[in-house]
Amino acid sequence: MGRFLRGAPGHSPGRAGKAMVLAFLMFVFTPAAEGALKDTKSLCASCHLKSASFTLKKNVHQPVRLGLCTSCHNPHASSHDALLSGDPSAICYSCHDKRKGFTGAVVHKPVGEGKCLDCHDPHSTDAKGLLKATGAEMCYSCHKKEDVISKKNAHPEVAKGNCLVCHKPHASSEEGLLSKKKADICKDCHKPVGEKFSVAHGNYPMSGGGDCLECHNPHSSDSKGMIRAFLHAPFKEKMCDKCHVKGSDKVVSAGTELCIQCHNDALSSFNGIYSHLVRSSERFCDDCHSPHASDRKALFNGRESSVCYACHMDSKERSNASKHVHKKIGTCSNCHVSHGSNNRYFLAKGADTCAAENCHATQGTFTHPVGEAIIDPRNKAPMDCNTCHNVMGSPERMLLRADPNVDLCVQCHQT
Amino acid sequence: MKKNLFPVLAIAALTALALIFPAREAFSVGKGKYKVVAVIAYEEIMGRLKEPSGVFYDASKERLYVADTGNNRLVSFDKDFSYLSELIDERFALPVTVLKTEEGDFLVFDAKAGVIKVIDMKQKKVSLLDMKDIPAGKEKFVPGRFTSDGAGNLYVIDRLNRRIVAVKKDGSFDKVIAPALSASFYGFSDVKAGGGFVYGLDTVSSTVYVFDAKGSVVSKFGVSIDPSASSGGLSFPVSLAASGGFIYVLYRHSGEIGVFDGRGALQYVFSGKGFKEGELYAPSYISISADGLIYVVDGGRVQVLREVE
Repeated sequence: MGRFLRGAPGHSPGRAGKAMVLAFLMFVFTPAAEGALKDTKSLCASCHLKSASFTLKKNVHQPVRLGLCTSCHNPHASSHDALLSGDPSAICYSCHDKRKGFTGAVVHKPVGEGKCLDCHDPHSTDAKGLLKATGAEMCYSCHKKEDVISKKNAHPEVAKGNCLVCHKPHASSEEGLLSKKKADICKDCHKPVGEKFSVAHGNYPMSGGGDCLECHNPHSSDSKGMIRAFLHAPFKEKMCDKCHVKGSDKVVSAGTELCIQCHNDALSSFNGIYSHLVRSSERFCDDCHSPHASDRKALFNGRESSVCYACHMDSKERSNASKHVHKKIGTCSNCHVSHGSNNRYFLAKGADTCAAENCHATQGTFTHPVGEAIIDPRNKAPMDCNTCHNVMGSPERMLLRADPNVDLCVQCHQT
Repeated sequence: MKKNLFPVLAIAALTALALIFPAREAFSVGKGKYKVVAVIAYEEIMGRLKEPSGVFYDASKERLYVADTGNNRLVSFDKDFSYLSELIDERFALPVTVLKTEEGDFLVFDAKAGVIKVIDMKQKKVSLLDMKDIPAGKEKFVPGRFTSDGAGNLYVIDRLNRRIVAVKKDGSFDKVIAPALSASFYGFSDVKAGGGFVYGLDTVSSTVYVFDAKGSVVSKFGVSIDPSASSGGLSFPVSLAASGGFIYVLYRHSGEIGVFDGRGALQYVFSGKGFKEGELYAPSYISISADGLIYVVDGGRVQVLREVE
């Protein structure tokens, strides 16, 4: 079997390309095409009674207003839902230039997946931008409201539901779909100058590209000043000079030395057959942890899953693409340790991880036996849960590695 | 009569299909052919390997040494891969990577202590590898995997400083090998040397670096065709080896071995995800001996493979 590479040289128009050319020629030379984009509103509405109400709403999509139903729908036959004349996102991009605002380093998930209709109504709505709901309510249909604004103090713009003050809805060059760089996003409204600002920050300079979001939650917080929930001890006790040269943003020791002056056993926790001692930040620990404040225990730099997925993006992609995934797969520390391990999957309790914490407590009592004495004839290794299950995602039910009715069991039980 | 027409119609249909949908040769990369020479996992006297992590083949003595890390030992095999003996000593633990010097000593990375140790077989001494005058980096020197270029020079991954430290046979400092630092460079997870080149792998960014004898980057290329594992291919490179002018990259998540030329063009791929012999379920390390045998540490076993025409 050959392997196919994307975009390799020598690419000739494929089946889809030929079909498109053929479709175009048929469209151009077929007499019926002449009237294809004429106002068909009344003709369509004679059966599709609901379509008459489209124009009653505040915002009407231009083709609908002009009665150009066939600009999106094929009146005869289609291989797409709702007799659409093509893939829904391709139809949208035929008018709305994809290059203008829909591409970037960070793309909103529904945009990336071509699911424009997750947020937009293609005919008409009362909300601006043909959105299916107004303002933040649209965002909250996916981003749980309680995760954003459940705390005591809410950012005024968040309270008003003005998500788009800081975020872009489609694509951005910045993490979190921010409309500006993290370091600049707050400064339009909150000028980092003045005595009050200086005193609040212990008279330490915040001018060196400081990232407000490292310490402040931009949505809501239980603390004064929207400070994040978990604080590094010296930060909490305002002992900034434990790490910083007094009055300066410079630190007292270079690299990881700064952290291990207190966390002296931290480096040795990376010792093991398998180790996460890799780095990209100026200071190794900062790759995963904030030195100041975080909304997550262990002062993670963000959601635990995003910290792990920063390196393990392919695991995320695989899980996303799998029909079946393990519950709470984004809370990696439920099963894995993060520094060093003698287990090849960094499992916190090795082969017993699945049965631990009362998750799968019945494991081993009525299912296939596992353990050191039960040897997989294929690889001569002791069997454990991972032998038959792929916890990170599987096309099969119960996260099995293969279809149990076809080829899972017979790999070992051939007779 | 109808029965007789079937093959003719089938051929005609296939021919028509072939004309309508021509094969995409321009896109394809061949599937390399290989055979399994041996699988080392269990032997009655040796017992079962536990999290092995490195191999070294001593061509002069025709011995294979395996770092049986989870069992805190080194084990040796003859040229037919039959078990010979084990070396256990409480002065080293979790030996990751094994290398035998010309003098007959072993070097291991003791993963429990996080240091490289020398096992002096004649004196029966275990000591720390003495690397002299290593220039300080911004971070503490924390060694990782290491390799030799066959002339006795050592290349040791300095994990926190994202560089490779080269030392001469006598332990004296030779040079630092590193690309320009950037946020997209995560440091080296594996290193190999030979033929005047040093090869480094950055797992997280899926990048192979090739350095010349002076330590300058002569080639740098991505080795994951598609970062999405959902497409099934070439995901999470964890180890590399060089042989015959080609670079072999081992992929943890897809269980494959990708073979690249020196400029990073993928030539072919072999093996794949699975538990059976010849398939790879948790591969972590690859090494190729001068006679072309490919040693792959895969979960609790070492598979010895040979490519065939």
